[in-house]
Amino acid sequence: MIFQSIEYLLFFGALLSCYFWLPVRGQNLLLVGASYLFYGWVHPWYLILIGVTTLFDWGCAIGMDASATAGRRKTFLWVSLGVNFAILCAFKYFGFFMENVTAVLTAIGLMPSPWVLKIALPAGISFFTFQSASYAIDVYRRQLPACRSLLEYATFASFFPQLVAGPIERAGHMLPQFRALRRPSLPTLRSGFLLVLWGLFQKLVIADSTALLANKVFAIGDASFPILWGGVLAFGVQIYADFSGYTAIARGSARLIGIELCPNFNHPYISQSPGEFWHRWHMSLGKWFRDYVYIPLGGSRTTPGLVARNVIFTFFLSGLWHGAGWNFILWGLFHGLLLTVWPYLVRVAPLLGKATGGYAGVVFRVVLTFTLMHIGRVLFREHSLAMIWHDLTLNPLVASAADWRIGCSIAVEAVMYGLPLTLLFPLVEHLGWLPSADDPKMETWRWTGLQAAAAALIMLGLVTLRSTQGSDFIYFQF
Amino acid sequence: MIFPDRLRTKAIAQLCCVVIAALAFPAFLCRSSVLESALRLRAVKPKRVLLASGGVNDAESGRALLRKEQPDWVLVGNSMLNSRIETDYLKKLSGHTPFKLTASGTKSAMWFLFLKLVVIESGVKPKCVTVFFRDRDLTWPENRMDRNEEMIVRMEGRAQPEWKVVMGRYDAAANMSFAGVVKNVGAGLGELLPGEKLRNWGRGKMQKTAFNLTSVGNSMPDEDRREELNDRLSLDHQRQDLASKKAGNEENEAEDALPGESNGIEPIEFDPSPTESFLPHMVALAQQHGFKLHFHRVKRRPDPPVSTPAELALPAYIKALQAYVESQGCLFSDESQDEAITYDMYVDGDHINRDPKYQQPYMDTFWRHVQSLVDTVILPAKSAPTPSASPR
Repeated sequence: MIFQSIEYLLFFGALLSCYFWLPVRGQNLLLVGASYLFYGWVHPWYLILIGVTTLFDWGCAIGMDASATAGRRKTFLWVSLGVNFAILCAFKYFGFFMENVTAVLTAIGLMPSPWVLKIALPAGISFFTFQSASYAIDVYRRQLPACRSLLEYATFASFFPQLVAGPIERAGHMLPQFRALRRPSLPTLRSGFLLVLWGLFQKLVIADSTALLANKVFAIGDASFPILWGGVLAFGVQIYADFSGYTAIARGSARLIGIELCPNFNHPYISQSPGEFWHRWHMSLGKWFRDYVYIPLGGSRTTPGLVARNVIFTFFLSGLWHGAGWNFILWGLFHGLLLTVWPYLVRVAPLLGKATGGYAGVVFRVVLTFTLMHIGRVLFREHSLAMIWHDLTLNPLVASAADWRIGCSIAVEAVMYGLPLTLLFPLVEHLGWLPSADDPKMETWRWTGLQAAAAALIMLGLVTLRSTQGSDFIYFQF
Repeated sequence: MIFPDRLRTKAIAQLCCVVIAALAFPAFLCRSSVLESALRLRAVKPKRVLLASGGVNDAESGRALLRKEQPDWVLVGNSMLNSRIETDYLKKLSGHTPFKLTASGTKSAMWFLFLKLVVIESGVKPKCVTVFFRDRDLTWPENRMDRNEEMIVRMEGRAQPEWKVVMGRYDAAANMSFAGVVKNVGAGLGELLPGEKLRNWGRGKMQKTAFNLTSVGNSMPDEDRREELNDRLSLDHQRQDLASKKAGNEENEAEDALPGESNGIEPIEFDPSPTESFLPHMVALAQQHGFKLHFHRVKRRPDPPVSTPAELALPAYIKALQAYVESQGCLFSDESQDEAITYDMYVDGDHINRDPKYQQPYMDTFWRHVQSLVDTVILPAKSAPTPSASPR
């Protein structure tokens, strides 16, 4: 089931109509049922995956807790991680692996008949696998006691708003919420409603409109420099609005049922360095890699050479997490290298460091970071290495005047659609004009009026600017 | 009490205020004629539902075009036909005057309407009408109906007595089902917020502004800019691999399973009863109106074959289908086993690549399959084509 559908509206309305009348167990039971319905809506058999990982992780965590020896704890951990990552590898990486093995064998003169696993990738498999893995690791590290209640754990493992595209939650944040009785708070309902509306606006207006532009550009084989980079810019706006829109709907839906999810974005396009960008973009995944890969490898408290290795390896894995393809691996390595060399670049060019150059310096760093991130977008979007090479070696001097006109108009249109998300919203927040949802002043009539006006404008925007050609959320495929 | 807030009344009022504002303000603006005249909103052109040689948008224009073209051979189908046949080349090849009547994403229920409401009602009497189909399309009336609501309404499908006979139970079931509820809620929201004109205006304004902001040094009108942009990003410039994918989406055929994938089709017996499919009704129309009805089975993309229950049952089904249509005086041809139609001719799904390099060899093969049948019907009424008319 997808958020931007009438089915979801009816599904969520039905859930909400009885949810708050139930006791804790009833609420959790309803959530598990609803989550399974949500996830199995199109392909019911995918529920087996969720069911199997839930049972294994729950059982292994209890086993870890009960184990007297470190060896037994580790065994349970490996079983849990093994099941999770085996499922992930089978569905996501097996095809890629076999494709490459076949290519190598063919290149050395052997002609194997390749194994082909013709199964569609279950939506959000990387998200729920990582969430389950984080629980197992936290219990192993004794940072979290194992959850004794299968129902509570199943509610956490299958919670529908964030199941298919995050945020990747931690059990330590979610399980206590599932243990308490959820009561509706009217200000929370109000802010949840607004968040859902804002998410829909991001998806249906900004992401879907810029997707039309980006898809057209990335579908032509002879794009010139201005057209291609107009398309890259459109894709940059699209992917941010798409993912941020999903997160807003997920957080808004969860808030409406009394659960608070962690934020996933913090205005990434105003970052002044690649490092800052990764602290603002897909924050839950960044924290996952930091806590479970980067720090265990030694993090930044080691020699410069090892820090570089840790960063590059972490981003290599992050690339692979996004997709089974060489372009994603390249994308990961590109960002890893960028983060590694950035501190050295700052030494050479102090203007790259924060707090230098005044406003002009800020603008320069924001534009530079934005540009670098969008070079990465080419690697992310193009699936063939030949096309990546073609795109990155385009010569701006040979493009025709017509192509410049077209490229610029694509870029300007993308920027106009993205304006509320990429500039206006960060500005409003920066100026402190937007109190948090739980701020008492939100309960005054003045703020209610402002919220009502915002809701009306967002809805009007949805009606007047919504793209008629919808598309799936990009991150569903990961 | 499920609402524990102390200031419940105030909080409920505030929540209602936000929700009502979100719905009422846009609803007022969308429905207000003041805004409509202030913004000079134009009526939205109806969505194109029916494509034909030359392009038409409804049954009446289809009839008009048929009257103008006076074809002796009408081809009916969906994107399978659209991607396979280019009428100019087929005309040269056959010496006949072919006319395509197609709409993407349609199946037999819509083809029946094309036949009845466009071909027959036009008064044009083609000698032959060829229906392109795959596998069990001809006896699977409910297939693809959910996406064709607008076309069914515009072609007055439900008013046709044959439609009631065949589709009555499906229509009733659809209204009772969850899908029916979803459809009604969607229609209700559409009624509440009829934003089509505003959307046209709003999105047009966005593009216009983008053009204006980038019009430095040139004074091209917006229409020319739009045309320039559309030309530059058109199918002519598409990457080969992606063009196929896009074509598939455009033709609305993406969810048609390829051989080897399951699309939920169960093995089925051929059943020619008038309550089960439109096939007997099509046959009856041909008999009543004196034209030859010809069914042509297309070859699906020859992927590595993996047998599904439906495919295992197909040979017997097709044999029974052929026996039935031939017993009713119709023609039948089948290209599905022809080795000359190769994998590289396909772009996506079962669509043939429209590049003449692939499409023309396909049409040569197609013509080989149907020539003896179609010529037998059409040639007695006119002289045979001269050899120079044929490109081969």
